[in-house]
Formats: sequence, structure tokens, C-alpha cells
Amino acid sequence: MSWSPKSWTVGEPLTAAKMNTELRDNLNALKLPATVSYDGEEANNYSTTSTSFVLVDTDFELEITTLGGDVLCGFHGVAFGAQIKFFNVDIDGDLLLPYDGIVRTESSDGISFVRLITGLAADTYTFSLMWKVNLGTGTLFGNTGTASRSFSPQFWVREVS
Amino acid sequence: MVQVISLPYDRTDVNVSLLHDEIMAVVDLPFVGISGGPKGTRVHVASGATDEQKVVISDLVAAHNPLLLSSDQQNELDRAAAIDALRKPWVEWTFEDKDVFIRLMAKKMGLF
Repeated sequence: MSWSPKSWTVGEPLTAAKMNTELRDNLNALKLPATVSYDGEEANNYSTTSTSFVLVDTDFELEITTLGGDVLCGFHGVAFGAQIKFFNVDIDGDLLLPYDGIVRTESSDGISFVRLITGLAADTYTFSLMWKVNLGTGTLFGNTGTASRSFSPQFWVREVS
Repeated sequence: MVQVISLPYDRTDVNVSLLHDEIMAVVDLPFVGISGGPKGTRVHVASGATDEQKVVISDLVAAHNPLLLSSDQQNELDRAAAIDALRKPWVEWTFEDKDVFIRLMAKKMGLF
């Protein structure tokens, strides 16, 4: 249901149906905000040599239906290789930030970001984790099971208001 | 900003670094890069790529041998071997060893 608290009038009857709609359903919407996530369980790594932002993998495409509130988007993983690896988010085909995206990392390191996104109207959106490198091959560790090289990246989106 | 399209292939056994070099070696391909993962391989090209160019790329992907090394990978192996050869007491280092070490450090610092 959409988030639309009712304005009551003096003397308006308080019925079970209205209470369920105006109180129960709206409280449930607050308790269970729209949330989607991907917890990396693939036994392979992800790699790229692309110098333009491209999708990390279809695993990192998340669809969410919001009620028109602000949205938090986050990611964490461990990347290595290439000189510099850049990460960004695409929403329905549009990069969230231009140029070099949200965060960057050099060498082998953990990387993460949380980004508050405002101004999204109530609708269904596809959030995609994007990356690029400046030179060489960048790799994002998957859940390979190899000692010191096995990590589970996570990408998530949640409506927060 | 370059408009990029991604050509998908089912192969998951790709040496991304080597395939990148193999495609780069073909002149006149509007090539941006390659991505590999558990769901297959994608070759990223500029949006103006022709059908003929896409066929060339498909042929390169099909013929790709992931067991070979790219030049960068071979260079990294050579570098690791050179470092391993220096793992000995300082008193045993020769002038050639010190020259190798200086070259390794200079390259790591991006001096050449």
C-alpha cells in the first residue's frame, strides 16, 4: 500500500476497517520498509578491464518499489588488481554520479560506501552496482573458499523515509 | 562520456587480462573492456560498433585460450621470480642483484 495517513474529521466513526488501514497498515509500512539486497555467494571472482562504468554482474542488479521516500544504497567487498578501481550506482540507466563515481580503491583492499538518495518519486527502480578501472584488470573477490581470497560482497537498497 | 554496450557470452573460463589484450590487438574495434564472472563474459564496446566488428569479437572470444598468460601476467610472474631470487643474505648480493633490485623499485614507483 502507499504511505498516505488519513486526515480525520470531528465525529468521524472509528471502524475496524479504518483502523486496520490507517493504523495497522501504515505501521507495517514503517516496520517493513522496502528493502532489496544481494549477498554474494558465488564461488567465482568478478573481473573487469573496462575503463567506462559497466555492471559488475547481473547479481548486482536490484529492483525495488518505493513509496516516494529517501533511499539508502550501500555496498561492501574486497577488490584487488588494476591501478585504481572505481565504483558507482546506476538507477534505471542513469549513473548516480558522473566522472569517477562514489568511491575508488587502489591495490588490494576492502571497499564500501553508503549513499543517501533523495528525490525519487514513488515507483519501481532498478539499482545496479557499476565499476571501472583506469588500467589493467580489477577483481572483486567472490566466495571462492580460497584462504585469504574469499569474501562475500553485499549490495543493498532500502527506503528509509 | 562513451556510450557503452555489452556483448554477452556464456564462457566463464576466460583469462580477462589476456582476452582484453587479444581484442585490443585488433585494430579499429571500438573496444572499452571486458568483464568476467560466474555468469559469463561480457565484452564492452562503444555503441557504434558494427555487426561485422561484433562478429570479429565473437570469433576472438570463441578462439580464446584462457590457459595462456597476458603480457601483464607474464611480467608479474617475472617480477615475482626476480624478487624470489633476491631472497638471500645481503652479503651474497652481487652488483647484478642490486641492479635488479633498483630496477624493481624504480618500476614500482612508476619512474619508468
